[in-house]
Formats: sequence, C-alpha cells, structure tokens
Amino acid sequence: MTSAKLASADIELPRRIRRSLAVVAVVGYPAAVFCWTIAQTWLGLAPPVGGIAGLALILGSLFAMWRIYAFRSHLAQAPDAQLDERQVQIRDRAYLDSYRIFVGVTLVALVLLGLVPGMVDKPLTLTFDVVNWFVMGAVLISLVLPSAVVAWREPDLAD
Amino acid sequence: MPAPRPDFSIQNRLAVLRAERGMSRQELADAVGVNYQTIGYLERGDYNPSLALAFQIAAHFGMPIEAIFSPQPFAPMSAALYSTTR
Repeated sequence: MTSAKLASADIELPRRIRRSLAVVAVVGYPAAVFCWTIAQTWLGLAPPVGGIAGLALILGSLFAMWRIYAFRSHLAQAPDAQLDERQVQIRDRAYLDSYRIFVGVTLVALVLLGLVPGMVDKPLTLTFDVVNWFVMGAVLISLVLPSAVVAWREPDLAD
Repeated sequence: MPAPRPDFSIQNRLAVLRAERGMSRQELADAVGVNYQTIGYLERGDYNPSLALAFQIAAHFGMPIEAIFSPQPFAPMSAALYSTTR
C-alpha cells in the first residue's frame, strides 16, 4: 500500500444529487435517442420539434455523464497502486455490477426492438444514423457506468 | 463454503484510541497507508479491515490486535479499566 491514496474529492456532494446525476447519465441518453427516433420515424414530427427536444435531452445527459465521470473517474478508473483496499473493493464491485447492468439493458433493448414494432404494427427503420446513435450511446454508457455505480452506492460521509 | 453473515461487523476502538492520542483521521490514514475516508468507514463499522490492515493499525498503536478489533461489542474503556466487580 502506498501512502498517497486517492481522495474522493466530490464525496461531499449529497447522495441525492449524486444519484440523480447517475440516473440521468445512464438513462438520459438512451431515453433521448429513443424518444427522438420515435418522434422522427413514427410520429412524423418535424425535425425542429423532435430535434430540439432530443438535442436538449441528449445535451443534458451528456452533461450528467461528464459530471459523473469527472467526479468519480479517479476512483472507478484508477489502478490498484493508487487505491487502498476498500477503494479497490468498491471499484471491482462497480465493474462487476456495470457488466451485469450493461448486459441486462442491452438484452432488454434488443428484445424491445424486436417485439415493439410488431406489436404496434409499425416497422422501425434502422437507418445508419439511428444505429450510429445507439452505438455511440452504448460506448458512452459503458464508459460512465462504473463511475455511476460508485456514485449511486457510496453513502454520505458524516465528516 | 458458507457465506459470511451480511450483518457481521467487526467492532473496533479506533475512534477512542485516535481521540486519546489527539490524532486526526488523516494522520492515522497516512500512518497506515489508506485514504482518510476509509478510517471513517472503519470507525462507523461500515467496512471490515483486512488482516493486513488490522495488524498495521495495531502495530501503529502499539497494542495487540484483539485490544482494537473484536467480533463482539467492546465494553466501555472506563468500565474495562476501573470496574470494581472484576
């Protein structure tokens, strides 16, 4: 163990705020892309309406991702040498849970994509843009998930 | 292998020992090579230390490990020292 262990600089953020940021960071982007896709392809909303609302949602979730990644990345991304034994446990558990969440959400999304268009009898056209959004979302979420799990789980400190 | 009980927590006298010596969490953390928040987690019983860390803390205070950590709740230090019903 080295003496210079990483301090969780933003642990002072109240848990409620950390959890809100974590939810927005993880759920916001796919929700925005999903709403935007539905608005464009099924509801036929004009691009400015769906575009502006979708863009606002996407920018909001990107901000939450950046915030959560910035304030937890030092713990969730740090190598063993920079962490003490408790922090290593937290990081490792966060990665395991992130893997489970990612696989679960991906499976649910694939099932929904396969079932919903048939149930509502409206074909979903998967254009390059739509697939591109989903792939970007998957990459961004896989990066931010460990930090979000840590931010969600860590209790408030008394001092 | 049976899983450890989820409510199992190792009791410790870290807060008392630290207060007796006028030591901050940061100072103790630096001495044993952990983050200061980990000392807080230990004191509140939110985290059970590894054997290595427990021995390191015991060595730092110059006390046997069982005087600092115990699976059972500790009696108050004053009662342990001055009790007349021994």
